[in-house]
Amino acid sequence: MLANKETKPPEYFAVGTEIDVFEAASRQGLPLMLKGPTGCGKTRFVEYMAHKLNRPLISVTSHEDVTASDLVGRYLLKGGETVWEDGPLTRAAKAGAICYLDEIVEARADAIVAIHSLTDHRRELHIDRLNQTIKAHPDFMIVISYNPGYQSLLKELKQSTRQRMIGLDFDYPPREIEEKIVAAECGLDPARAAELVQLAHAIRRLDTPELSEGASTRTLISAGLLHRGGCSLRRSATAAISSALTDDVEILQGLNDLIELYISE
Amino acid sequence: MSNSSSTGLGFIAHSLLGRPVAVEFIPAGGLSYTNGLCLFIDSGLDMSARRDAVIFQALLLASGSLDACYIKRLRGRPRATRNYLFLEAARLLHNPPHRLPHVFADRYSLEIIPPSCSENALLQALKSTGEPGLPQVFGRIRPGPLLKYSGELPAGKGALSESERRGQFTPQNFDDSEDDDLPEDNFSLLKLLSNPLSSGGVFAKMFEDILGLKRSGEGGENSDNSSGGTPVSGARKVLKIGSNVVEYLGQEEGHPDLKISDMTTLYSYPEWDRYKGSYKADWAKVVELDPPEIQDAVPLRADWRKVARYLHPLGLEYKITSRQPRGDDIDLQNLIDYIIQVKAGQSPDENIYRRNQKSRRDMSIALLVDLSESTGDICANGESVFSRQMTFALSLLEAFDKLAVPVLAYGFHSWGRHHVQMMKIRHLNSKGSYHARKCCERLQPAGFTRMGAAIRHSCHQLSRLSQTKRNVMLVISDGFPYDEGYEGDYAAADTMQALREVREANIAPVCVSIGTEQSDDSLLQIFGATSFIRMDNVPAALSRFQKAVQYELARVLRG
Repeated sequence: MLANKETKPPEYFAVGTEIDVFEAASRQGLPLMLKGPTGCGKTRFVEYMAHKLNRPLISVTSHEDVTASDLVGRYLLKGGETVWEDGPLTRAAKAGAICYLDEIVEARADAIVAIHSLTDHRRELHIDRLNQTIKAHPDFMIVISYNPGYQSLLKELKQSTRQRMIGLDFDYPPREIEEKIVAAECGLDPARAAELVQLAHAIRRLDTPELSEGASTRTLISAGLLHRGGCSLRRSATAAISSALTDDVEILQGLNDLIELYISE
Repeated sequence: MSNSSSTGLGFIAHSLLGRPVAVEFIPAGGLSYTNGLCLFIDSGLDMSARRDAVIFQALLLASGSLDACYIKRLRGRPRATRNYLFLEAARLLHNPPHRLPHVFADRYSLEIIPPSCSENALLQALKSTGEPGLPQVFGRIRPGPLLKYSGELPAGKGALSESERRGQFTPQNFDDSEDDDLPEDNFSLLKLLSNPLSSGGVFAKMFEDILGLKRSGEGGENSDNSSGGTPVSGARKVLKIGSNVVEYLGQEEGHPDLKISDMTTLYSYPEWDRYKGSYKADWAKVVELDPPEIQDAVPLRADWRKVARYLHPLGLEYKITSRQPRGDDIDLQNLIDYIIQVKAGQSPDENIYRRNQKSRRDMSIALLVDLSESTGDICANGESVFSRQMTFALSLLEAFDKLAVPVLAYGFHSWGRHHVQMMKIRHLNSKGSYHARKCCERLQPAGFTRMGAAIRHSCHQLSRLSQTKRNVMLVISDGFPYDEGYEGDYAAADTMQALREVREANIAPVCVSIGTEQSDDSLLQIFGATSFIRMDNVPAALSRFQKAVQYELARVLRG
């Protein structure tokens, strides 16, 4: 996904000094590691910064089948000929784009190691198949993200990868900012946005493993958008929040009771 | 509210307080109150009022109004307690924390708070009316139960911040000459109103002097107790025997009838007599029961993630996975697809290998937890053996649940051969661990350990219900098997015989003992050195636990 000044700028409400840190890291060519729960604004932040810095953004969502070839590139057949096609990492390194690797810990080990030479002082990428080494564009930047609470039990980010990164910890925004976000994203009345945020805080206070992630800002926005689409806010909250969070019957009922308590009809 | 049961109300209280808290109903007409661990709600209230009562009591706890440092001043002073409740309610409603549902604040604020709310106005209202009028749903404060459990309150997630807890009440131009008109109780109560977070002032100092409060770090008897309780030590007292068993014990000896409903199935198992070298047929009677509801259930918290890492390799078997970029062999079908794509002028999928990897889990677990009275003993760290056992059992349950491993779980204890109780924690085909956790919280240590019967029953149920090739029985116990007519070599021999039956049923038994000061000799002899693990430090012993389970599984599968 590429971003430029002609498209509508993504809206982002800063919580702390994350914008300053990103800009400083960008100036120094340092890679960033964004850590936080799902739906708390990591991807939106990267989109916002790409737009602010006027850099193209290339996003890759990682999964367990993502290999080094998927990131670096491979030979393809085109019109009977074998043609090399750069992968997203190579394209970003050449073009000076921001390469955003989402849920990087899920990718295979060879894929994670492929970024090492780009994230230390070398800032270069060696392509085995071409026997070439390319130097990264001065504006090139790697940003990785992952959710520490969700990590697969046997997979974790190795220290050799972690210590190449500048870390930024994300969490759900403070109440006032989250209300603004929900109101702005959904076009909701501030009072109704406040009800959704109050509900989310109540769910996040529940200390139970089944709800360890809590209700993300994303689910609140989904509920708000559903309400704008014509459903009552309570019904929207049930569909977008409680049903999304759990299948356990008792917990589902408890969440619906909280919706009834915090969301007026 | 669609669900006014104690479970639904407990959920609401949990979300306000940031920690689990039980909700019980008291006879109609009684005023609602809390002891810090449980909210006792008037059963005569309608659905909406019950919810309001829960909200108010939970908020009192969350805001620090019921901290021991304040409550202990109210003991034996009912009038001061009522006045304090009135003022705390007014304080909360005047400056409601964000978590208070607005419907509650809107409904009650006008009833209690005068339009021009200040401390002076409230005190004048108290002086003029004498007894403060509060809605019935607000219940009362009972200092005794609060102080009894104040040392056991667990730390909560999302506790109110300091500024939220004590609100913004500060003395405003207060003329302390008016104190002379107030009864003694109200004068002391006035000092309780002073915001301990205020930067100074005569009233803050008087408040500190009288209550002996200091800011944190300044020492003083309450310096470690002003934030609403210390993290739970997990101490669980040995409580009285459940009522159904008391009835049994009241029966005559011989073959007493068990006082259980006609719908309950009674299981009968033989017992090995080492002296005769044969079984005693139909000797032990086993019954499955649901854990009874109790009033002061202590919420359990277990960290399943640390345990899950060690459980992850268990029960895995090889499975061939195709469409791999590298592998042990070429998958012919994928290779054919590759050639077809090349011939068609398309970019082929390069993943043509297949690989044999351990990715499929085929295992079921039977988990037995010893509930005998001896587990109520206190360990060196201040926790009871029972609490440590239940915490570990719960972390196993939650971890296995995350790994999608079916678990059949019981707590077991006995009162003679005619009454072996298997308390149902989890059924093999259940999903989720929420219900299992609630069951664990309702269990209490009592009775004795007729281990052979408990093992035979679990073996029978697991064999009947399991559909997996690998089956493991995990026994968490604090010491040797012991019961009426069941002790020493006789009990050990019967338990060892039961374990042989378990292995013959292709189930791998492993025993874990946690925190007990009793000797391991008996369990070591019964289970054997390779399948008995002592876990004084659970995290450090997890790798030995993993190896023991793997060893026993391999042994059973070899035959």
